[in-house]
Amino acid sequence: MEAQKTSYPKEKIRILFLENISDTAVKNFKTHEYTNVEKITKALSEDELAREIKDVHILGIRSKTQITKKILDAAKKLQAIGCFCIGVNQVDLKAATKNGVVVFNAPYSNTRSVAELVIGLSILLIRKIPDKNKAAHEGTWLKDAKNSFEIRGKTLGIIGYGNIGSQVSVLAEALGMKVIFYDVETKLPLGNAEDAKSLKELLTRSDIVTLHVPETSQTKNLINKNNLKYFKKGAILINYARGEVVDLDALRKAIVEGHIGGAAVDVFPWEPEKNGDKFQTPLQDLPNVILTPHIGGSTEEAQQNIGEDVSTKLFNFLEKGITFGSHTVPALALPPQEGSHRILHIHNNVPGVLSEINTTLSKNNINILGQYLKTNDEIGYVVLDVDKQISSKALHLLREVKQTIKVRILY
Amino acid sequence: MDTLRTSYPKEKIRILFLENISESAVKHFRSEGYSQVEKINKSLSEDDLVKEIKDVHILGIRSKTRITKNVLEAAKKLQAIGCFCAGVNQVDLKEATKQGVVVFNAPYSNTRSVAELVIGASIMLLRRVPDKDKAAHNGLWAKDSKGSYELRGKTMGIIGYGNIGMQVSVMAEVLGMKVLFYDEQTRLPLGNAENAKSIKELMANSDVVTLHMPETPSTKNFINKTTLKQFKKGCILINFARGKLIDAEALKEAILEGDIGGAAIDVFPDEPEKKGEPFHSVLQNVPNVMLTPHIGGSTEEAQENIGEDVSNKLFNFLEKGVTLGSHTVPGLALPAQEGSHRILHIHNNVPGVLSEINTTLSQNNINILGQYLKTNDDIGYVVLDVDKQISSQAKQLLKEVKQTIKVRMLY
Repeated sequence: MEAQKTSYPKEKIRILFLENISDTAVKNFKTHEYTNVEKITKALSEDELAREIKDVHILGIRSKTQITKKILDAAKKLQAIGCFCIGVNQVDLKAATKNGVVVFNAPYSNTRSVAELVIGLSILLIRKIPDKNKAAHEGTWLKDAKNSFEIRGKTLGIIGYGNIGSQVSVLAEALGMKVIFYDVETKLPLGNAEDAKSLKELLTRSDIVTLHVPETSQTKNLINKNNLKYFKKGAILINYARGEVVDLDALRKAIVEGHIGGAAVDVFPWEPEKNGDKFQTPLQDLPNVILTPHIGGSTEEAQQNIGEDVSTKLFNFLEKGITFGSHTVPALALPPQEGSHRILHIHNNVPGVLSEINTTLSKNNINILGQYLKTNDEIGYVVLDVDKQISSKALHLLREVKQTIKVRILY
Repeated sequence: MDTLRTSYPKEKIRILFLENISESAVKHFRSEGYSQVEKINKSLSEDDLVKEIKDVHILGIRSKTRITKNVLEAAKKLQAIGCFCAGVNQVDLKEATKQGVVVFNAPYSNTRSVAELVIGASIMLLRRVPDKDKAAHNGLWAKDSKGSYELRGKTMGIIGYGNIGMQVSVMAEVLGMKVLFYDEQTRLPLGNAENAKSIKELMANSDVVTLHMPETPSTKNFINKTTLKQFKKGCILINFARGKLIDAEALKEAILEGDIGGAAIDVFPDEPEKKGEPFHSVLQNVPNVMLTPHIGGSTEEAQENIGEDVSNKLFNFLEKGVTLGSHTVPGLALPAQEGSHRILHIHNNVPGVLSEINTTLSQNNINILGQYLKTNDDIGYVVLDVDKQISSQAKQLLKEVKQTIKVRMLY
């Protein structure tokens, strides 16, 4: 069997990790026999990275490395980029798509961390704990039950019912809250959650409102002077989504005037670069306001999950051709290959490519045991399982197909 | 039928509420036809109360009115005391028992409020939010995921598995925690909670330890220099139970040395009398420590629950003779009376009383339709349902029984 090995040997696959990606990810790769792993603790500049990336097959980054067209054009051997973080904004996805480079990230890894914090904050704010805690540390006894409430039976309004919003929904119901949500798309209400007809309906009915929307032109200042009026008097606002979503001056005014009962804000229109930097917001020193430095998803567990999730996606792509979760090459979930070799073919999505592939293989009497195709606007991804004996001939033929971007064979 | 009325008329029952007991309780009594309700906003001194209580049938207090032997001896007509709070320490229970005065309180009313806060504090402290929040208010960006953990999958150790401990157990499991508990008594483990063999085992295996035990000589300074060493490194300690359970100096040292990861403390050995007073604790300004002014059970809901719970117990006693939940007269849950009159008889618990009651009634040809007895060390409480036509004669006979403390008839 050894003689039939046609895949690129694992130990020759060059892997470069930037930005101090967790050691567990490095170890994970080494235990999977990818020995050629280089780790750099910082981010690299465009020029430096354009030099470094020439022979790299797999690149691991976090949120600070900008992957530009220039870098991608220099990356002749690059198969995939693993973004060991939640987003992929730092990568020029259009250029990566054109070059047939798969881009993975870990979108669900910190969902639970954010959702837990929303619950914890809700309990503390509806009880007015921040002020009582501050006073106790400063030497004043603020014992009072007035305007302190339990969360049981209260209504949590969730704006944006995606991964995090729906996770919050489940936890809140488990603790005896009533959940209503609002989303611009139709979403499946989990448990007993109720879909509010409008944003206004949600705001007028909720004791606590929590935001879980992306930053888009429509969500900018989504919570503003005009609709803060719709909130129930004394309602709590939680923003662990994006900084631009709330007009902070309007929120400040609503809190000072007593219309809003308290707030927890983790994200700001302007955020410092790093730990220890100076920070300013109009919400500082307001009563019953918890301010946190964009740590909604910052836990040891989330870091660990990110390492595992992205590593697993990279292994699945390297060893099985699976692109599920990719932001560039079309996402294919594939069955395991048995008794065959698998060829991955990425091509420009123009008419006739699949036909050319099938014609050239059949002309050469190469029987296809399995074939899977998915395309997007730019490119197509076809996976072919072929007989082991003729796989290297097939690989050769596929390279000749016009519009081919990348071809790779797995054994 | 009206001519058969033998109960004391509702409008003649004098009810005195001290300490600004909630208006809803007052309304509740009035709407049930008890029109003679007097409400005083403050607590009364022993002398004042001795004067006021002479003609009072029902007294309502909160935690600050001391009900002494002097007060009780002056209270010739007193049937019951409703303590509109969680405890009954302010009442001389031994004396009230001797006088046959029923004492009710609302032990479960704030259970949920405490449990919610334990969960909220756990989430915040595992994430080190207090320090990050403080820094953000003070203009510093303390973004870091190091040492921040999710609650999910962690172990909650509950010492004292009573009403509050069990409530915490259920909520912690619902949020995906593993629950370990320790109690001196054998307790039913709820859900998947596990009974730890020893406190030491509990401490060594818990990520969060929460105390829910009473204050007794054996629990004083139960968390001390020695026991703090048995905790897992970085464990969070929560005390919403009693102030004397913890040696605060030792806890402070353990936190500063990093052995304990943080704490939420709501109760202190020495607490100010009222809101706004100065307060001092060695735990002030210790990192990742939440201090609250004994507000674990202080919510609007708990206040409301207390009002309803104690009012209902008083109504049930006044109108049906039910003493379930009494701390003095033995607790009897009684079936509804139908077509009969009910006589309540409280007597010293010496041999022969029940026999004397039954003998004197049978000698007078009074048929007993129902009889219920419960005794404690000091007194006995017998309830007799008798025919309406002869109830007044029966009551007279019962008053003659030796060892009688109080007799009352309900129609």
